[in-house]
Amino acid sequence: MTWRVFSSSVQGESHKQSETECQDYHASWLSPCGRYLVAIVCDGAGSANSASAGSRCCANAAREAIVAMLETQDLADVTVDDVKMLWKYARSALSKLSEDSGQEFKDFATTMAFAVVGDANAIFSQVGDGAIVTGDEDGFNVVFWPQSGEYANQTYFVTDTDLYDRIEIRISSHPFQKLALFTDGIQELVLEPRERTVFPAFFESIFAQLNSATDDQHELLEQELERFLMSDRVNSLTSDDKTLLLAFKYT
Amino acid sequence: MSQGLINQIAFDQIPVRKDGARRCPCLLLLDTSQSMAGTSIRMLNEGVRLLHRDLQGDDHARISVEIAVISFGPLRIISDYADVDRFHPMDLQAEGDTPMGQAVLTGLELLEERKKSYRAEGIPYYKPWVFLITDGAYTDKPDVWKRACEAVHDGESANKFAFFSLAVEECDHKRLSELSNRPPAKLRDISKFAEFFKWVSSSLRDQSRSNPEEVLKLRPTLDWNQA
Repeated sequence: MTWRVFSSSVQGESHKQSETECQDYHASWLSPCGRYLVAIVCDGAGSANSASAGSRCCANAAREAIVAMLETQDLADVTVDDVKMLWKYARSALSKLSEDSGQEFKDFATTMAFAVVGDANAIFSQVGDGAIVTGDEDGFNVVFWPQSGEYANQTYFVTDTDLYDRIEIRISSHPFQKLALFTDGIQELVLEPRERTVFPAFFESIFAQLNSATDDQHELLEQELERFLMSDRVNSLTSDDKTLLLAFKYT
Repeated sequence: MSQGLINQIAFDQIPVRKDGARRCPCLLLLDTSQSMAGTSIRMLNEGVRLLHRDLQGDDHARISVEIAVISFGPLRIISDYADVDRFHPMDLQAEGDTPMGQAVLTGLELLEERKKSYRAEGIPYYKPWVFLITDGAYTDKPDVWKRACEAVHDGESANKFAFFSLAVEECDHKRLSELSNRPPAKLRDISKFAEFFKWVSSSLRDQSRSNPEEVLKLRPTLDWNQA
């Protein structure tokens, strides 16, 4: 049993017009035996000068730290403090980037959400908006509600001074077969804010598509995912950068 | 739909929440007092139509921007917040005095009501914009004007909205300055109205795409006002 992962980050119309790079970034990792899945999404702050460098650095540093952790520790033994250390590592990578480039730390502001999934356990953690969704036989659930202020574009970042008060962490042994991580660019299209739940039709439909695909269709599916994120239908509803990472267990 | 897929993968059929677009509320407080008669009111009407047309031509702004219009002289709620397709610019007539303070208070109430309904309906929204355009001096009672000034100052420091005022030609600039921390912009030439509304439109479109800090970074000056 292992995971299949499909992912895409695309530039929003707003950034296309202002000729700003895509500020979203995602990273994933599957352990060689397929035992562990690591999935990370980051959204660089629109107001930060080096947001795209920030999101890339943060996601890569977190992946590095998680992989290193899994080499020495069983996922079942991971504690909340261990998860906080992952954030500390990512934050110090941003801090180093800031020192090396001579730019301010807050120029690399980015959100981050990640999931580390093993045979019987998973850890989830998040700062900022965007969300992680898991799916099992009973349906889909959002792990943490996106963190935001009164306005849609106000959120929290890995570079914030009060980062450690903002970190959401959940360690779970509840099994699930489907996983989605996404940035705020599509969150209002796939979540139901009134009930603080998922918009189930989206997840049911997209995972059904992935499920019905054959082994050799991976690349085509990722292209299709990218096309979907860049479609007029999606762009009329959101103009932000968009990332969607989908994974499902298959035997 | 991709041709190459054996199993007819159809991502274009995947349902998404259609009322998920973020809203960008914009309030126009327009002076329609007697002194605006003639070219000013004509240019103002044309400006609002231009703003409307410009926003209509942008698929995202069309869904996300919501416009409300209040005219003063006499005070009228011309249009409560409505999206671009449901907003219909009308011909405003110049008449009466200038209850500017009352218009500000009424407008800010409308704005708070709108925010309440966004929250009740779970609609995400950006920081609202308020634009006030006047050529004269208020005719409100001093206590009404004082309350209006407090409401704008308090609202701005509480980050409730971004307030911009535009002084047309012979406007009483000093008294208008009391209203907001941000100094009123001056429209020296009435023919610049169109440029002002273009600036409003692009600011709203920028914001409906990204965030207010970015908008102000990209458009720090009211460049329609340059000589």
